[in-house]
Amino acid sequence: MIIDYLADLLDELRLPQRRAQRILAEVEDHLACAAAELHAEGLAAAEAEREAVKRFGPAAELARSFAEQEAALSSRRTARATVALALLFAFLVLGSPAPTLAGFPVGLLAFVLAQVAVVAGALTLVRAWRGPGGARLVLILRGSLVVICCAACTVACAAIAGAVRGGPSLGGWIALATIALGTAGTAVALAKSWGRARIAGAAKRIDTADDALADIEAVTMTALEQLGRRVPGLKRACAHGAQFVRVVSARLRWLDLRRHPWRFAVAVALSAGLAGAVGHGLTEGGIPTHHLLRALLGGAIITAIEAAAALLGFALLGNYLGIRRRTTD
Amino acid sequence: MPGEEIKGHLDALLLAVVAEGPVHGYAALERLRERSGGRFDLPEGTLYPALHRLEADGLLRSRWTTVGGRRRREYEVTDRGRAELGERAADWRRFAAAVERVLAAVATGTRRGAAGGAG
Repeated sequence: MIIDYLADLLDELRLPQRRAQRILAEVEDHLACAAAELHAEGLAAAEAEREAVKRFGPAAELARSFAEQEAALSSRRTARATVALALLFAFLVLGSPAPTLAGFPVGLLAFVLAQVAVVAGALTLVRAWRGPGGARLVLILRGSLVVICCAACTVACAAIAGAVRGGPSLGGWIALATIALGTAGTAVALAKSWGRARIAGAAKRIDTADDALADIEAVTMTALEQLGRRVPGLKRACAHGAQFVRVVSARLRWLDLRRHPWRFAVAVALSAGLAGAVGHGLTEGGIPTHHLLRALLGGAIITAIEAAAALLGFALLGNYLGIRRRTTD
Repeated sequence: MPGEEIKGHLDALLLAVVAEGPVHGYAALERLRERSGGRFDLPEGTLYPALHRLEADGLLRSRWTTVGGRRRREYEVTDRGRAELGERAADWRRFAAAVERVLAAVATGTRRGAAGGAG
């Protein structure tokens, strides 16, 4: 009876071999202990084995639990790789002191895609930290896919432009190769995770009451709570911080992502646009007082482009990345 | 339904029984059953995914031992697991004390009501 159960379990377990073997050994030991105890209590050997197996529960159910766990672990690994890729990509495109992917149109494309990758990477990080339970697992994988697509698209366009026009500098090629390697590694991790999610039946689980704001709120509260616990001196400050977050979320109802997603999107897009214009102005040496009108016009153009890109991103990826709920109530 | 009752508390309960000393899965279940006076008699197969999850989270560690010629996986609590257990136990005590205070007020009200009815 125990042998039959273990054979069923082996059939049902679709896990890496080493992990499956460990589980089988543990279950075998457990069932042998349980059967021995039941036998000692007076049951016949065969009856004791049957009872031990019955108490253990169906093999398919156990296999499903392990498959879900494996999918969650795999998605966490992918999330880590995704966040690293998004940071690398953003640093090489946005943060590097000597931008390696400059010029039109590749520079502009890389500039926009790097920001999309940062948003998707940040959401992936938040969701992985919160725990890849339920629909979050799919959203983590989707976030990862978006970061990979942004990086791959930039690499492909830059490589084509480079081949046609004589190419970027050596530093540019090194940056491209680094992003390409990171993208390939993350894509392999994502493919594995998606396979695990399919096996666990979690690949289509996208019905969630949570949106990005709920995830960010939950993570902020958890972070403040943990910080307060670990650093007793900050306990009061953390409690005030949590209260402040609650008050701000309650006061900003007119900007609520759940009730007014487009109002929220416009506000974020304009903020991003203004931040982009100010950042550009500062890197160019501040406001040129003798060309104030020109500077303001340039700032307005940058604000408009950045805001349009943010709105377009929200329209195209808002639902896919779970930034807002699919249905509004 | 005992299995349903301990949902949400299983991790803390397992950490507590493993914290008593290195233990394999079946013995952990036995300890849980004994400490709860037989109340927490969960479906046995649910134990292993929970143990593996706690290990993946760094709260438990495990190693193979051999007993009577049979390989056995033995679990013990890590330092992080011990700290986590302390936090969860403190949370639970605060929660239980608050529930107790509320229920005590209800019990007092019931006694007062009964006394008023009798008078």
